[in-house]
Amino acid sequence: MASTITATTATVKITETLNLNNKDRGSSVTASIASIGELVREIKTVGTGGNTVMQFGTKGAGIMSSSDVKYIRITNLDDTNYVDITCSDHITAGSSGHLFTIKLTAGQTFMLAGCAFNAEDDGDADNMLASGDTIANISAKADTASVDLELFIMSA
Amino acid sequence: MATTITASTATVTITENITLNNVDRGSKATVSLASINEVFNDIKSVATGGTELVKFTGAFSTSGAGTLTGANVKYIRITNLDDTNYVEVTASDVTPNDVFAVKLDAGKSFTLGSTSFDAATSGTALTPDQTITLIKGVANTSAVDVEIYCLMS
Repeated sequence: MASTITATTATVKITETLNLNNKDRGSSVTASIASIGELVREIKTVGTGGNTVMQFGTKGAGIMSSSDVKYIRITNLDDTNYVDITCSDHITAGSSGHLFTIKLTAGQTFMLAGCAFNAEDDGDADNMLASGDTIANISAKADTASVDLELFIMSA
Repeated sequence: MATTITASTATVTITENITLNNVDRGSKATVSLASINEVFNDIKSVATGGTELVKFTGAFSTSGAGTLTGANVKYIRITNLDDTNYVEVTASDVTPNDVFAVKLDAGKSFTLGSTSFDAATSGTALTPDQTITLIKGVANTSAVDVEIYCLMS
């Protein structure tokens, strides 16, 4: 079998619009991301008990190659409740060597440029990537009630 | 002194455009952020030895130059404006004690919706009960420019 997909360049534009006292305070930025041949575009319901939303490792169903990932966007589609997003270096929940969690309020987006990361709780704040790690699992845990997330992930 | 600033609603729109084999695979996300009355927009050169980008404090009374009130933060964007080199972006709490780092390739952005987080070296999921007090950049090969854009109520 030979692939029929021709990799292409994606563009990602972020536009902030804000007018304060009749003065434009907005900004905008655009990135071109070359050689995109795979993508995940998914809307997923996350419960208060927590769900894995994406895995990175050997390619398979719901698993992307971590070294090929070039863009990750996770948007909380709920209009009221927040969701906790956890990135960890263990492909299944548990036994993580490094992990971090952020709070994603209603409507907001968490964006990453790839899977390279590190996390510590001992205060080593500089050059952490030198001894760094790779995100192997992204999980989410809704707070008050289930929320919907949009995942948009692009890879080579 | 009374403020003359009237709080407003900000809109953040993220648009992905990609066509694979003549099929549109793009997407778009938009959020409206009400009651925004402070904005922080800075372009800063980041050194290979590390450069502080923005600080956050727990109370309005201790905010100051380059230090924003963490509880009021509604949106954070850090963009690497370099066309070649990546930058390491770290977010940490006060000591620092808990800290995480992400790699930001040339031209790409990192966004957050609040300053609530946690980081550890074990566990399955954490409760984001810590507050980011510092975001710092560490350039890799040579100095890079980054844009910092934060919206606060």
